[in-house]
Amino acid sequence: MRVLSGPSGIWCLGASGTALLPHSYADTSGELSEVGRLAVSQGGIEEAPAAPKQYSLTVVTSTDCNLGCPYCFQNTAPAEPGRFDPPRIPKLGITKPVIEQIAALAREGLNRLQSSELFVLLFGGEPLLNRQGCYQLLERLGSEGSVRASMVTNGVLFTPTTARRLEQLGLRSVQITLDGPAESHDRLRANRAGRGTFDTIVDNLATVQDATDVYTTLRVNATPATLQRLGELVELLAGRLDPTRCTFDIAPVLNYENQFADILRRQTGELRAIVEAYDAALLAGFRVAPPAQVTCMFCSEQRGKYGAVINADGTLYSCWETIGRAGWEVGDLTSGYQDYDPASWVSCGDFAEHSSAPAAEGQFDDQLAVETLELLRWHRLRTTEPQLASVS
Amino acid sequence: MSVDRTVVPVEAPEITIATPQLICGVYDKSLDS
Repeated sequence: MRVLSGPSGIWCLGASGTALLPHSYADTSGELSEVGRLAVSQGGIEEAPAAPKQYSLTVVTSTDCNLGCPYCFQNTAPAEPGRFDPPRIPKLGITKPVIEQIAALAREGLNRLQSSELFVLLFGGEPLLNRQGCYQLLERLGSEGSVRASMVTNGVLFTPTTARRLEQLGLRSVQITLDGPAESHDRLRANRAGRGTFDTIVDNLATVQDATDVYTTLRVNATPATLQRLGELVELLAGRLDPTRCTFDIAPVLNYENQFADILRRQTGELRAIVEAYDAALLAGFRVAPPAQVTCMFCSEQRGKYGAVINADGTLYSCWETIGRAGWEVGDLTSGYQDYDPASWVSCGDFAEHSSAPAAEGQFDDQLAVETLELLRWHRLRTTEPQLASVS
Repeated sequence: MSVDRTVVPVEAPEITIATPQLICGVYDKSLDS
């Protein structure tokens, strides 16, 4: 459990929830007192989360990508100078025989969990470079259980026609990444010929919002260059999208395998810029996710107990971070999970830590968690109990 | 822009039971049950 001190009280982040305790529940060093520990225990936030109700699959339908982002964790080397097409993990597209094997795995997982609910995450590369594969997969899995799907897409091919079809097959949400406003986004998230993608992505999102009920998580990459322009981005997006149907999430770019050096230094000024952007996003009507101790459906239990991560050729991995990386395989759909090296079972963030520099600094992350929790509480109180929330 | 938002400190524990789940490292509201 993380115990963090903030202006409103002591924030305790446990596996099943969060508690905000009065300052008097901890001593001067921040240690919880007996009454503090009792409050946490009675609150039940430290208990192990209930087992998932659904079986979860992350499926790569295409490892190919139409963008050439220089920081992508699936690049295997930087692009040559003046080019925008860094070499990537091997190119693969999902096929009908692999989809049949995935359906068999899903059936087995559902039987084991005595469930009929499937969660499917369409992943890439860019999953929509194999649009038919996405349709075929969701359609086939729909005959095994009730499908709720999400997709991590760059948004360039996410048109209303595609979104409607996917929604009919169970798509409920997408995660789309932006790198700040158009100018900074287009410098980093260009297509493989070097052309910008910002306007196409935002236009697509706006028309998809009109055409469907699909929810959007806007993952906003933070680098020193983009950080100062997040307020501008919030304003622009609030004018073009329905903010109430979007989560605004800021994620520091990581330096995988020393291919991208322009990363956050985790300094106080950077922290203030992130919190100010969250504040602007909340005022504009976007959602901001509360920091929490989270449970990943895919990697929290070994050997695919609650879910599996599957590359387009049927190879199994523990996590999206290692897909397509030689030496990180943990099995395949034909033979199942093999006797893999336990070190190959990475969980969210492990591979980034192995291959990123510098490593995350706990103090920055703790401070950001506290400030975000305080900000979310302030925004909640300003609408429910305005006498308790003010601007100083 | 300043974000010096001030709230009155809590006087009694506020407990929120929730288990946010991640998709690709990001919390996804559509998974809230």
